[in-house]
Amino acid sequence: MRIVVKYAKEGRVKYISHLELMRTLHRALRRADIPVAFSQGFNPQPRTAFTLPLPVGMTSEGEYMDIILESYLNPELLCQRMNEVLPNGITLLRAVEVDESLSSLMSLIERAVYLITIYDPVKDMDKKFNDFLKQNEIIIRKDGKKGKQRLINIRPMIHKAGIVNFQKTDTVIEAVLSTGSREYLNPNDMMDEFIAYAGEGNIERSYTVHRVDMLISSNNGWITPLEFGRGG
Amino acid sequence: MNKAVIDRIIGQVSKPVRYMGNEYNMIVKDPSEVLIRFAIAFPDVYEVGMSHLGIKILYHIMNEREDTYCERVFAPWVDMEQKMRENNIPLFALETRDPVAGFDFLGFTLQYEMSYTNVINMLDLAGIPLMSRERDKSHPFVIAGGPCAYNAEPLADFLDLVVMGEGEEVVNQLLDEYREWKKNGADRQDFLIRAAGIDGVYVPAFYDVDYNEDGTIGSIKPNREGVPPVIRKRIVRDLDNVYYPETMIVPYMNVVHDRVTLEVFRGCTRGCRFCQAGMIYRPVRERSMSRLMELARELIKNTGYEEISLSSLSTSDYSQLEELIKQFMDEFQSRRVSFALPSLRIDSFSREFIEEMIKVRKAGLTFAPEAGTQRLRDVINKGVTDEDLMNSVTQAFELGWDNVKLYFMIGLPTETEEDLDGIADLARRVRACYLDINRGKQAHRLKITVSTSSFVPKPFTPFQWVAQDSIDLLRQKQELLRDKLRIKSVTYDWHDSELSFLEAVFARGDRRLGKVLLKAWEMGCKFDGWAECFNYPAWQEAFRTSEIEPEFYANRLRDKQEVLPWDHIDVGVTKAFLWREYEKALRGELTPDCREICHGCGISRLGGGLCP
Repeated sequence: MRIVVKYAKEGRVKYISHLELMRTLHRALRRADIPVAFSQGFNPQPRTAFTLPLPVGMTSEGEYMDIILESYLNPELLCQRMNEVLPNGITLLRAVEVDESLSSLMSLIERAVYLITIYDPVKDMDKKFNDFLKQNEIIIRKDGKKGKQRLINIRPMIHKAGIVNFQKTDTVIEAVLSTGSREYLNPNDMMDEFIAYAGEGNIERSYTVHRVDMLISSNNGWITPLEFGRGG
Repeated sequence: MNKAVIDRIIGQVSKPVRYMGNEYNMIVKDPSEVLIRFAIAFPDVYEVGMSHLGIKILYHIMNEREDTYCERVFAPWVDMEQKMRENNIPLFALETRDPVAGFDFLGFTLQYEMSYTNVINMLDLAGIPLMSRERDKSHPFVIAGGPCAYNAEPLADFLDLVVMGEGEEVVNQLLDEYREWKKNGADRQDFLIRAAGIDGVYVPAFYDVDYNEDGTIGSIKPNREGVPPVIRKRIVRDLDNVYYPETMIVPYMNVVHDRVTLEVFRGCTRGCRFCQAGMIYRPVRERSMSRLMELARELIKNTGYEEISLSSLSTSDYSQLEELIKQFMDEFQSRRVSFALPSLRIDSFSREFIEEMIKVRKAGLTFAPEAGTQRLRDVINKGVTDEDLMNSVTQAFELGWDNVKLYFMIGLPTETEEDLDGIADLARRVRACYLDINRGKQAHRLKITVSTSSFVPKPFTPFQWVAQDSIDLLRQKQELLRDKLRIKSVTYDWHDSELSFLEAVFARGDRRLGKVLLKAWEMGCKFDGWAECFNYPAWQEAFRTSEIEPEFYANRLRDKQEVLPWDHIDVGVTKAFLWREYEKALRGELTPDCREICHGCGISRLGGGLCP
């Protein structure tokens, strides 16, 4: 049986790495006595698959995990039993049974929706952000292999972005960014570039990033993994 | 306000998880509803401290009490310390992120000498006066335990209280006493007097030390009425009935020992003469198999760990080990819980058994002959022969291992070049054995690592009187060995001799070293056990400006009559026994395992029927 689980990572646990998160979920599976299947071979591992790592420091209510079970378990019961044994901040939100022949989520997800809160925003933040997006190209430098720097145009990876809540103390941007195995834009890279663009690059601005959900392309447009799992 | 700042700076340092708390099984209490707040401190980073069993036991014991909330605190790494100081964030406990300066107790576990500067640094970060005499009623009591507490004299000025021996019972007595004292609102001194009345509790300020002209100690005497002249360590009589946590915090981070740890017994009967643990943790007390199985079940269920390890000083000496492991396998193998045995002595197992073990996990193998020749192994009473080692190695190679580690000490008493040659000879024989078994094939896969540490004479051992080799001599020996070990498939690594020298100074140090610690800390010394932080020139400067010669402590041979800085502590094993063992060592005489015959070490004075 294959189950897709949607979960949240919030609060203090935002600082744990992807590897630590996986280990935490594996141990919770054991505590909750979930009949998870194990891989064959010398060092058997629980048969789970995770979507692209959430950068350390970000929160999310739209993370996904694939679990293969040895025997049937009601998906809701799985959530309930897991939530009893998970540390504060990690919560399973929904689980659905999916066809075992379905491709892996990792390969299907291409975009994600983010909410970015800027504390102490720059002056004329809304205008500056719109100007930032109006550029045909937004080039950033990334450290590549062998210490070489690569230049990347991130503009095509910003599919939608706009200020949804504008206040003096904190401003919230909603953005849909490429978040797949082929094309990936880290929201931090976009924000650092924007802060530099806004001309106050030497001032340390603080902002937080929250991932709302991930998106898969389908015949009916962009849908969430759970919608996809239920057959679009 | 502070807590928002803490949350922000955690995001700006390496390994933020170290400071995050919020792990599964972390105890959550409302601090306003407890009478006593205890911060249990490990003077090293999170991942080292969270691997330590003693802390886990004490954390849960204290939190069983309704009147007490015990929280954890570790040494912040250099980058975090800098951020904390920049933002005026004092040392805080992981659970509530409250400053530990406002707690009732700050309790350090002293596991190794080179963590002493971290103790001082943590006090400073907490904003607690460094010296015991400078603290008043608004400050926590600073308390210490652990193996180094048996000679905590170099830290005497910084500590209010020291607990000798096993903490499970004494900690509750101490907290009960504190509760009474807090109700009555008497002064700080009054609590120290009450505490000194508990067996095993040492208040350094209640003792005066005077010195002879040659720098040795004249006497150590109580300076007030009603304080015991000798403090005897505490032990737990029955391991089956003593508290053992059935749940443990599950760190997110990959800590050093990231698994369920089951303590199978305490103490050791082998009597290796260099080994402090083998003397101070006597007598041997085993936990029953049924209790261990019960604990394993609960702990796996409550933590979700995928691995269990058995812990003790010499696990293969557990009287029912083979049966225990068989039961573990039967019960846990199907649930994919694997098994880790530290310091496996495979010579004592049947071949079928080892084959069974490898199915679960095949780790590298470490052998610890400790010395290169039989003569020197007899001196240190390491009851292992060349033949034992070769048998074990043969078995391992036959079973498909091709990676072994051989561990030795250099600078042991009476060592000569012949003993160093012996190390190289053993490495050569191990290599020949592998080639023999594999008929010369696959020679490229063989990896033998020879590792040497420098011998550090420790208090409460038969070698507590001996002089450590000088740094220069140890270096010469390391260089000699490097040449001798230029053998195919063999790599050689060794420990820094400067660090071993400082360990030797502080292990057998007295109160006069307090000012050196302070000076070294002022010059920036901390995390001395970490190569990237260790600053030997600063230590040399600290000794120089304090006008103390470290060689007096490390490289001087003591005589039988000398009053040692720890003579007022009774660990059970007597000084007379240790001297007898020292003399036997010099004659190369063995002392057999005391499960076979009693050698009158003195531990039975702690109560009848203790020894197996």
